[in-house]
Amino acid sequence: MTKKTTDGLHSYIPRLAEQLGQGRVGRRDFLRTAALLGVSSTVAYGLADKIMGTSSAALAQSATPKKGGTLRVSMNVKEISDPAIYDWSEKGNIGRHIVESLTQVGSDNVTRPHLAESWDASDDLKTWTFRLRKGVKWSNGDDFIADDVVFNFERWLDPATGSSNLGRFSSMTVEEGGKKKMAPNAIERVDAHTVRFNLQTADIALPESMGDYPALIVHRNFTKQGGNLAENPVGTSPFALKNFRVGETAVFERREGAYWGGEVYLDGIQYVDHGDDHSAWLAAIASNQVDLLYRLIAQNVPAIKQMPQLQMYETVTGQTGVARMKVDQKPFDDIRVRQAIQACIDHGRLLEIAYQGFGVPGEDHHVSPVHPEYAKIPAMTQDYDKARKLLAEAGHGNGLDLTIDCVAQPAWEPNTCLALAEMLKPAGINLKVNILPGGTYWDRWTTTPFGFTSWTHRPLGVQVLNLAYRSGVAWNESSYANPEFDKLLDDAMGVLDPTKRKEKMVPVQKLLQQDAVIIQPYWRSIFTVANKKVKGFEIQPAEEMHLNKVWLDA
Amino acid sequence: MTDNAIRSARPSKIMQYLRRAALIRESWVGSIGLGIIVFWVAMALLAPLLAPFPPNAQYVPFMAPGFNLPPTGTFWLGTDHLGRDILSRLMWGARTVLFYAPLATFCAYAVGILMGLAAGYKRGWIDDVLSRSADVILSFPILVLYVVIITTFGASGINIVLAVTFASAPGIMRIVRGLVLDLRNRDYVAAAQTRGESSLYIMFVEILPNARGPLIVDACLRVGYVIITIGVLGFLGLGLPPPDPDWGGMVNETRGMAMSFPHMTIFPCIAISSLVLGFNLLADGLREVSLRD
Repeated sequence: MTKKTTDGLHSYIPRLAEQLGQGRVGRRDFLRTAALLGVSSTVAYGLADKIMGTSSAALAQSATPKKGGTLRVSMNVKEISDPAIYDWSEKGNIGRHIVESLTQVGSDNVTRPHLAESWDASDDLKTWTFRLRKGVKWSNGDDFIADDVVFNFERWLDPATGSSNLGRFSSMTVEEGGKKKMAPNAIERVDAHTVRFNLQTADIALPESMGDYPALIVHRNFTKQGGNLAENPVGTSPFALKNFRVGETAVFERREGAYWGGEVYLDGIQYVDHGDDHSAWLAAIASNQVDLLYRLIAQNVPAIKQMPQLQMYETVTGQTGVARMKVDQKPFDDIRVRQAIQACIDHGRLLEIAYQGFGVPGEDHHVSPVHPEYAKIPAMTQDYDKARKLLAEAGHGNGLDLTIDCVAQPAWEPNTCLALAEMLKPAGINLKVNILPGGTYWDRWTTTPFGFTSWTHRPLGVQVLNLAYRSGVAWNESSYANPEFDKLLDDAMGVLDPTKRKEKMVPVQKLLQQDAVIIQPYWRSIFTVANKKVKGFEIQPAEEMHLNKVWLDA
Repeated sequence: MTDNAIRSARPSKIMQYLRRAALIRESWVGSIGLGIIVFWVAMALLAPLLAPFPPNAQYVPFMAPGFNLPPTGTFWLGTDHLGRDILSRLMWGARTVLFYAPLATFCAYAVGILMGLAAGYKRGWIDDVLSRSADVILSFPILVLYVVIITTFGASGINIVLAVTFASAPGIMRIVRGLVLDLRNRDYVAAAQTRGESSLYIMFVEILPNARGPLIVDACLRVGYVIITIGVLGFLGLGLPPPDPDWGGMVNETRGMAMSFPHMTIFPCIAISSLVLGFNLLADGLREVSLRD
């Protein structure tokens, strides 16, 4: 049964407030956890301000937004027909201008209500009740109701859909004959605007998962009406898709009528695809062909600083790349080989060489210091003697020839692999870097013995661990299967208290680090750049484009 | 005097060739070209001795020319985006280009000459088949042909040689065939035929040596084109696989940053153009000298 305090807040909130007052949790942890427990962001910010004596109002915009104009954005325009199977944040960005998600992760990495108005969780975190926003209209005139949400969840959790949400919401699934499927009664329609989720295991990341890009909510008749968002763009967003050509452009116009989220300033948004060449993106913004880039690569930061009309945005993220080893294939099935490779790595040096030092060194456990549950554990240190000893024990005393697959673009990925290859040389490991076109790499990313895969930012550390390292899940590219790890991860995911969850993360992170499944060179900062006339834009750590409040100062 | 004494009094074949080659001194254009080529050949051969750093070793990224890092040393042309010494990479890259460009040209000539001799001397259906096949290959834009071959078979030195051979041999065949069509009607060919010499003997001993003049000039120009081709393939990301230095690849990897760090792109560009210029000037010189004969 859900416990609530007399003022309607979750029973955990007063304790959390107390911890914030004592400095045991940070302001960011407080805001995030409060939002996770269904406290509206206004109330959460207000509480935090009261406790800490700060003022969020001072952060508000000083200028009055102006209406009108079309924002031109340079970004790859990819195929967008079915949000459930999106696998690129670019797809999510286009899709998000048509359909929306139940929650949204802001530029401060805090998850807030979006199509869902509020939610609460039972104290065991196994029963979550989501109250949907009333008065939200689909572009075809229908009301947004609980049936829409139920339809989407049932579709995601049907293995036939092939959605990564099956792993994302694994707490709503059961295994039958080795296959995951939706647990009976996992989703309950309480009334037209209330949905209840009955989980098999506790899951603190449920609201964050609902904000991820494959969790965009389509209309309940999506499948019946063809199942193609590009051809039949019915949505709740304030924009309407006017023109869409893969690899070329996506044009949106503001819809007539009121939007539930209040005033929207832009008349339209135009995405232009400038291909994979970052110098073309740079040239496009430098010559004023576009107002905003989806991404500015680190190598181009110095060039931007010479252009006074442009404003650069930067944020440290949970974005990273991992040189992951297939633990069930030779020679990586021998843990000594993996640990030997790990012992050759100086993470700080990789960051400096391959990413100009913009970011934080990695620790080979895929939990970032920007994640709320990150536990500081000892980092691995470079030790060539140890590496040589391990290799000799594994029968590779005379050297070892390896090949790593990676994509050609963005350049930081092959550059990291080249830096890695230099670093392995002193231990007698000859690493060949096999640079592939993007499409070729992504065809084999889960099967190649040794590959360098980029992972996008997710608000909680446990989310990626759940997607990529749990036994048997679709995106488990290393084939890592360790029941002990799965159990420790379950334990951590059942804990709400940030300090206690940190404690539970220590064994999780240590185990992954010691099993040497991945070499994680660094957590990278990301950048983007806009013309200074673009106002109200904030860089989001998962590179999501939230443009509903952006305006142009003509 | 005996026959032997007469023979020993005449300069050996090698000496004859060297003396002919020395004629290039009479053309100042050719001398400059030769000088540039000799410079790069020396750089390539002596790279292990002259290069101040290992070509793939990483130090400090993005440093300008003249950067000094005690106690490691001075980076006279600066470092690239991965902190590698540009001067050392240019020297080692010269080895790549000066190995593969002449090798690819040689292979293209071997195939082109065989096809041209056979087509021009034998005529008939052999000529028809070879000439039409060559027309088919020549009808493709050459760069498209390279890209198709390299992407199909993968980027490696040997595949670049194969691609250049495949794409250039038909052009060489046409030149050879044209020369053979003229030479096959000469009296000395008729004499050899009357002597009952084999077709192979006539093609390789009677005809080919007399066609060498235009072919040598064309070969020099063609080496230049192949250098550009290797550069272009590297620039398109289809050159030799990294990390080993390749001039075209060096331009490709750094051109996006050329606005901020021009030195990383300019020096390999200068290297490519100077070497191509060297071969073109040499070809000009050779033509000049051969016309004077």
